[in-house]
Amino acid sequence: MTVDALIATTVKDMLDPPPGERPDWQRVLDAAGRKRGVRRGVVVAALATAVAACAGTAVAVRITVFGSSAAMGTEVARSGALVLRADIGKCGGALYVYDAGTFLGSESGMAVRGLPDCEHPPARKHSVGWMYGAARRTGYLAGVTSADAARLSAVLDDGTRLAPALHRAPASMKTRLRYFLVRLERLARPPGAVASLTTYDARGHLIERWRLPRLSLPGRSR
Amino acid sequence: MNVATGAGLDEIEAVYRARYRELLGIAAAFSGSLDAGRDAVHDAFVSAVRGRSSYRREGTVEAWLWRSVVRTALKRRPREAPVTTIDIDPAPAEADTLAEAADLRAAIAQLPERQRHVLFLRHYADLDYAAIADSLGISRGTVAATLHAARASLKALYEEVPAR
Repeated sequence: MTVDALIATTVKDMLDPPPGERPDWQRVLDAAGRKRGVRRGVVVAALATAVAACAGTAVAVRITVFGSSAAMGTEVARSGALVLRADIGKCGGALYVYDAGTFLGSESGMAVRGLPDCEHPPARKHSVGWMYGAARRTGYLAGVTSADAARLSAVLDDGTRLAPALHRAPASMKTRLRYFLVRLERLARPPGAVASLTTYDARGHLIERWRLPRLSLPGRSR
Repeated sequence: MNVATGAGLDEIEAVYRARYRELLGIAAAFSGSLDAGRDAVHDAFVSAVRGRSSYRREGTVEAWLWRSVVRTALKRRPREAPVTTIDIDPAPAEADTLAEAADLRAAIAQLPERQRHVLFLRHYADLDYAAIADSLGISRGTVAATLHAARASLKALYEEVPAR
């Protein structure tokens, strides 16, 4: 075990609260003077679905938590105005990235453990699937990890090291997969510049170190 | 409705549920006890729910909440003999790393407070430099330098330990 890995493991052992500690959101709401009621988004979605059904029209209605902007999938991570949404289908999953409500890009067909197999499943599945892109001057790294991943380290090929937070999916998605989204402030390289992805479990043990092949992009010197 | 500022209640709840254990671990370490840490997390989130319209989307909601928890916990720390770890049984580990971990625990506990805090926020809370800087009210450069110094101290001490 390297010293850095030992530091991470030791800090976790030092700080991890006892297993019985559980969040109590209702207590927070009560103290803040709020009562949990029917969420406005749910009401809007129910009304919209009822209208569509009455009209006899096959309409896929998706309502964001903010109420009106249509978007694909369910929100699973957010970084400022950048939002990662996800779907899980009968054959794999899909990721969609939006910036302030504007669609930036999507990815699907990721061979990640926990996503449903297609008719011809891949020979090997990974603990992480990812997408990396840039549009409208916004760079991002986003993806999904298997349920056993508690920490992810990503290295771009310019040496930038990222440690994205892994977010649990909302209960409505009925999955234990985790999702991540990082806004890249300085996008010096074109998409494809992820050098490696490393996942660790909750005890800090290595799950997978995935070194990605370097791409030969036009006009790019190595 | 297009929300330009303010944090959604759902967003705050999502961070609370997803990151509760890390928030509590940090708050307990910074405030000096598990009870004080629990209160700090609770109070910080109550304040966040009440004051969520003040969030300006200049960083992530999670970073905003981390800052609130860290600052609330720091206000609760005792003036004397600050405690920096929760005293619980260590999780089982491989036999040949237990002694190393014990040495390292002692070394971490002896680090200057700022180094310890930065180390905890980086290695336990998994915050990036910007979020750490925001939480502790220091610059990103100071975060980088502090973290480098902490790691160097620990590595130096570690290297002084005779081979087992």
